[in-house]
Order: sequence, then C-alpha cells, then structure tokens
Amino acid sequence: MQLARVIGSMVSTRKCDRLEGLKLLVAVPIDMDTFREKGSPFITVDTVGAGEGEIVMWAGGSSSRQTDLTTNKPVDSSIVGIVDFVDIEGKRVYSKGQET
Amino acid sequence: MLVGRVTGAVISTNKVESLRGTKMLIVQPVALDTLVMSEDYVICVDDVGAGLGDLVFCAYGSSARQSDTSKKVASDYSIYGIIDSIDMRGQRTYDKAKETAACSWQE
Repeated sequence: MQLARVIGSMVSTRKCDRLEGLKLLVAVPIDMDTFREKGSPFITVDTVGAGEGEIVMWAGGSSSRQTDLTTNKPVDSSIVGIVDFVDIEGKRVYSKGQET
Repeated sequence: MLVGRVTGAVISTNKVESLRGTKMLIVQPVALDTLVMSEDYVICVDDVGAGLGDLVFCAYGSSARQSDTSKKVASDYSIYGIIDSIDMRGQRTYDKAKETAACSWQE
C-alpha cells in the first residue's frame, strides 16, 4: 500500500455500468520522509468515504477489488483506509488534524 | 486508474479469437495536473464506445477484464469511462463541455 492525499474528484457519466455509484477521487502521492505531496495525481476509487485533504492508504492491482464496493469491478486502484497516525522509528510523524 | 487521450486505433485481422470484435484504441497517458499528453502509449480494448480525442480512464491487468463485455478478452488494459470533468484543489481543471483542443495533437 501507499499513502496519498485526496485533492479532488472526477465525474464520468459514460462509463462501465459496474462502476455506477462509485466515487472516483483524485489523489496525489505522499512522500513519507517529508509528508509532503510528491509526484503526479492519479485516479482512485473511494471505498471508505474519504474526503478532500485527508491522507489515505490505497491499494493497486487486483487487491483494489478486495472490498465490498469494488469486487468484480473494473478498478485497479482503491482507497482502503483513512490514516489517523503514522509512527516511524518511534516518532509520530503524522497525526490527522494536527498537520503542520 | 490511468487517464489518457484516445489518439488512434489498431486494426488487426490475424489475432486471437478472444480479441475478435473488440475495438483496440491507442491511449496516450495525460498528466492530471497539467493535462499534458505523454509520448508513450497503451493499446486498450474499448468497453464504452470512446472516440478519437476523448479523455478516458482505463483499468490495468486483471482489472481490465472486469466487465461483461471484456471478461474473456486477451487484454491487459481496457477503457472503462469517458471523463466529463475533473476537479482538483477546489478548481475545475478539466471540463469536456468546454473542450476545444481535444485533437490538438493533429494540428
């Protein structure tokens, strides 16, 4: 899994019917050293109700289909969790809501 | 999910049975923040009737075979949607209705 920040959303009305009702969000990767955005934005399917600005965890490939919302759906990237804390080497490097 | 522009098509008559009747389009990835189209390309099976110049999104690998019409297709990339709009950081960064340069690469 990797971390990313949700920064937006995408709308598509003409799409595979199995994707009906799924929220397609725009996220940008987070660099774990600095906890800053790094890299180019990508599209991922929301399965946990993630909101804009939140740091989330996402899974790719067939693992992105291992959720109730995305089983047997043409999805290759899904948000699988909203991050509360990140501890690295005993140090809390991220706390949701108390970002610098 | 890969986002890209449909810039062409591939026609092949001598091909595996499972690809018979499929439309194979050339999709060149587009960077979401700049909407700049990259040089590289992917050949995708079209599942939603995308046309030249459409900004589409695709799924890769086994996820490219997760629809009734593409479940037995020998394809690792399939187009599963045509993008209407993209909002980023509170701004509309792409709007199909206001699109004027969809086929700009042909100029």
